This record gives sequence, structure tokens and C-alpha cells, in this order.
Amino acid sequence: MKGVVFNVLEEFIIAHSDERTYEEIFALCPLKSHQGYVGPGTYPDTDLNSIIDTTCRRLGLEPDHAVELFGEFLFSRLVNKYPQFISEHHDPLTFLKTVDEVIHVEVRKLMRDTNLPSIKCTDGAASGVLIVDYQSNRSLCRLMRGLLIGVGVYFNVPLSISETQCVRDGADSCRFDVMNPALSLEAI
Amino acid sequence: MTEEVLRRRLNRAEHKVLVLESMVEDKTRELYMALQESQKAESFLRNIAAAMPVAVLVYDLDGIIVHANRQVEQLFGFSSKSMKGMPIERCFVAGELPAIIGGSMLVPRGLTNEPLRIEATCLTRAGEEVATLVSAVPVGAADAEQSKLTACTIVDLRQQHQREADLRQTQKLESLGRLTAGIAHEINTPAQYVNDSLEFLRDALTDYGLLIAGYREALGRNLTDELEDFHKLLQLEDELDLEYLLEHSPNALDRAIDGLKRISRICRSIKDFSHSHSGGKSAENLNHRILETLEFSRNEYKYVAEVVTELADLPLIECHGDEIAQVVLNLVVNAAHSIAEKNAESKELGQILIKTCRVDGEVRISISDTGNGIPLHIRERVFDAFFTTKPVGHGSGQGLALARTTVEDRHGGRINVTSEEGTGTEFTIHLPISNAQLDELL
Repeated sequence: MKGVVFNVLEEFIIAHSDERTYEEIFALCPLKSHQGYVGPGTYPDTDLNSIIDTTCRRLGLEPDHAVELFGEFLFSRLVNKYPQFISEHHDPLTFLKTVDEVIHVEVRKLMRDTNLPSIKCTDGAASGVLIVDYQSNRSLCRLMRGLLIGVGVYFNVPLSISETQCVRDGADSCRFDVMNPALSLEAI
Repeated sequence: MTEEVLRRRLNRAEHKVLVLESMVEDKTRELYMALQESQKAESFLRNIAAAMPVAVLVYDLDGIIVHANRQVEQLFGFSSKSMKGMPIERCFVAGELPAIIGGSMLVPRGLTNEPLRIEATCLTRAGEEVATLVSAVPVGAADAEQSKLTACTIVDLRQQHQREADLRQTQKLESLGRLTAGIAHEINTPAQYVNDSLEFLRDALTDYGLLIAGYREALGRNLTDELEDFHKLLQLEDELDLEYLLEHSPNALDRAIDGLKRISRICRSIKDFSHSHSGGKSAENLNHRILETLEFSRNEYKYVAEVVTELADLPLIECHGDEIAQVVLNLVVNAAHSIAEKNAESKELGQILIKTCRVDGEVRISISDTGNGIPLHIRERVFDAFFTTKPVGHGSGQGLALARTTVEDRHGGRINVTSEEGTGTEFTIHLPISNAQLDELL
């Protein structure tokens, strides 16, 4: 996982507690990298899972819900850091289609060793519905859901997101039906 | 925040700085290496471009040249530097540019990555017109700016055209070489009867001399001896067969004159045939060319076929007459060989029919024979270079390939063949009449 995610996670934990709590959590985690994370670096996924698990235990959070909240938080920070990828878009569904085809392509240009998830988007049968297939060996579908919520928040659109299949239930990929109610109403 | 917490955070922050410095160093090194590689690759490509014996011009959507390699200097006489900023139109003879770049956009037609290839005439700094082969292709779109560029490679065809002309000349001389024995025979036959006639006339003149001497002697004597002298002269006329001499001397002269004319015709047709016309096309009487060709190649067919000509009135045609004659010769010789093969046992005479006519905007020359015909499975290949069914040493397989090149590439016409196995073959040459000529004819 890229260091930028660890750093945003640190921000997220501090936002929900304080710096001392984060340091306590950090000290408790059985990490491979104890000396902190830099944005462009690549660090073990187990470190991320360890920090999340310890945080949830320490703060009494439900893990899936915490990861979802972190996803939403992560998206808002990524938008601040890399506004060029989203500033030209006016609609969440159109933007989502560019994640795999534009953003991930650009990330791979800069960081050849990166291990990115696959996010395939196809238009749903109904108007205003996008089917998002998420595939990753990290199985962070809660984080993906949080990111999708973050997209809706950014565009100020109350997206309706339902996960219709999940790798945790034996599916090949996690699938989300993302509906933009405004577009659906227009179709009616 | 306690001091301990701050110390930990500071330690991590300091470590991050170290890691980031190291990353920056690594990235700088990577960048340097990439730059080196990129410069090496650029130098490599530049060297290849410089070594290529073709002129390369790159121009933008406005038709302005933005890059020119060193070879342009050799072709155009301008330095590559001075060509930058020049309109691409300046490089070609007026009117040829639309054929190279289609429409109003100065990019190759179709905007595909398949290069467009066309023969076009370039205009040098000195105003000289140079035949070239031009390929134009959009530059691969590495970025938005490059996607608006077109690369144009220009190959000087002068040497190639010279080699082709040399090849055509060699082909003609090779044909003459092959026909030498036949031509010698054709010349020898009239030479023989010119010789016989002259020998007859020489003997006849001796006899005339004796008679004249007799007449003079009789005239010198007195009249009393007149009757006796007269009888002597009549006796001498009988002895010398004066009647025969008087009857056959003019014929002998006619035969000699006819023989010499025929020799002269053969020599002239050989000369016309073998002459190398390095210049452009000229107005040619095609019927005359055909008859000349038949004259000196007579020995190739006269023992196997009767040649029949049905030559319609044709206008003078702008063409390379010697090259068309070469095509006709190749087709006639092929026809004779085919008939000879078919009638090898029967020794029957076949027929070679040569017809000319004008149909709309073209002139047609057809040469048909009553030979073996061409088997269906090889009919498609007869115009291929080096394809021959003749035994080794009896045909290079270039005759029909050259015929097609001559008719199609050199004259913008076409040549086709119809054939029936066991019955015969017909080749038809279609030569277009130029618009200017058509205007004159109308």
C-alpha cells in the first residue's frame, strides 16, 4: 500500500481522537515499518490492517464501518492532493468511469511498483445507474464503498450505493450498483 | 501533547525527511539515466535518419515545413535549415500537391498510418524537375503537437529511372541478339538475288560490248559489204541471245533494286528498334512501328505462321515508340513459338493476326495466334517477372513482365490476355490517347 494512504489514515485517526492516542495505537501495532511512512513509498498491507484493527479496538469502532468512514475521508484528502483528476468533471458517474482508464494509468506512469485495484465501470440497465466492479487482492470493499460515498459528497450528490456481490461471499469481485437519483428522476 | 509523543513524531518526521531525500536522489539518478537513454535513442534515430538515402520533410497543418533532414540538400539544393518555414507546396511542381495530400487539410488522405505512396515531380532550387517517389504519413501522436504533423519521405527516382531505361535497352539488344541469325538470313536472301542479278548484268554487259563493237566495225566499212556485215551481226545476236538479254536485263535491275530496298528497310527497322530514346514520348505511327517490327523479325515466324495484319487508320499516338515495338516483338515471337510447339509434327502453318483500332479514348493493338494457348492454372502468372514455361536457356521470363511495365507503368494503359487451351491466345494492348490529343482529334 502506498505511504499516502498510511498518512491519511494517521490524519483520520487523529481527527477521531488526538495525536497522543495515535501514538499509542502506533506503538501497539506489530508493524514492519516503525519509522513512519512517506507518500510515494510502498509499505506492507499488513501494516495498514494492523493499524486499522488496533484503532478499532482502541476506539471501540466497528471495523467495517470504520474502514468505510476512512474511505470517505481518504477520498476527500486525495481530491485535495490531486485536484487535476476531478476538477473537469461535473458528474460522479462520469468521473468514476475515468478511475481505471485515466487515474490508474497516470499512477502507474509515476510508480511502476504500484499494486492498484481494478475498478471496472459499466452502465446499468436503468438510467443513472453505474455498475462498479472492484477487484483487489486486499479485499478492501468497505474502503471502496467509503470512497464511493466520498465521490457523492464531493459532487454534492446523495449517491445510492448497494453492494450486490462480495468476494467475502465467494464472488470473483465486489460489485456495487451506484445510482445517481437525480439522473434516475430525469429519466422518469 | 507530552514530550514523549512529540519526540516520537519528530523522530518519524526526521526519518521521513531522510527517506524522501533518498527517494529524491534515486529519482534524480533515474531521471539522469532516462535522459541519457533518451539522448542515446535520439542520437541513434538521428543517425539512422541521416544515413537514409531519402529526403525527409515534416510539415504542419498549415503545410509549413518544420523539419528537414540533410538529404534534402542533395535533392532540392536548399540547406535543411533554410527549408524550415518553407511551404511544402514549394517542393513540388504546381498541381501535383493535391494528389499527395488530400482535401483542404495538409495531411495524407484517410488519416491512416498507412503511408500514401505516389510518384510526383519535385522542383529543385534551380528549377529542375525531378521524378520522385513520395510517401506521406501522419507522425505518430506522441503528444498533441506532434499529432498535427505529417512526415513526408522523398526518394529520388532519377537513378532508378536510368536503370530501368538501361534495362529496357538491354532487353532490346538481347532481342536483337536472339534475332541475329534470322535477320542475317532475311538480309542474305535479297543479297543473294541482288548478287545473281548483278552477275547476270555483268555478263550481259560483256555481250552488249561485243555487239556494240560489231556494230561499230560494220558502220566503218563501205556499203558494198553491208549485206555480209548485216548477216554477221545477226549471227552474233543469235549467238549472244540478244532477245533474252534485252528481255531480262531490266528485270535483273528491278530485282537488284528491290533487294537493296528490302535490305535497306530491314536495316532501318533494326536501327529504329535498337535506338535508345532517352527523351520523353513522341508522336508515333503505331502501324508503321508494327510493320517495321514484323519486317526484321520475319525469320522468327515465317516458317511456322502466316502473319495477317488488319491495321485501322490510327492517329499519331504520344508514346515511347521503341518500347511499344519491343512489346509487339515479344508478343509476336511468343505467338510464333506457341504455334511452332503446337504444329511441331504436322508442320502446318499457323496464323498470327495483328489488329489495330481506335475505341473511344484509346488505341488497341491485339496480337492473336493459333498456338497452344495458355493453361488456365498459369494464366494469372504470365505477367510475373521471371515466370516462364520455356526450357532453361530459352526464355528469361521477363518479356511479358516488361510488356506490362511498359504498357501500364510507362503509358498508363493496360494489357490483358484471353486464351483457350489448344486453340490460341490473344493479347490486347490498350493505350490511352491523351486528353490533349483527343481534343485535337475532335
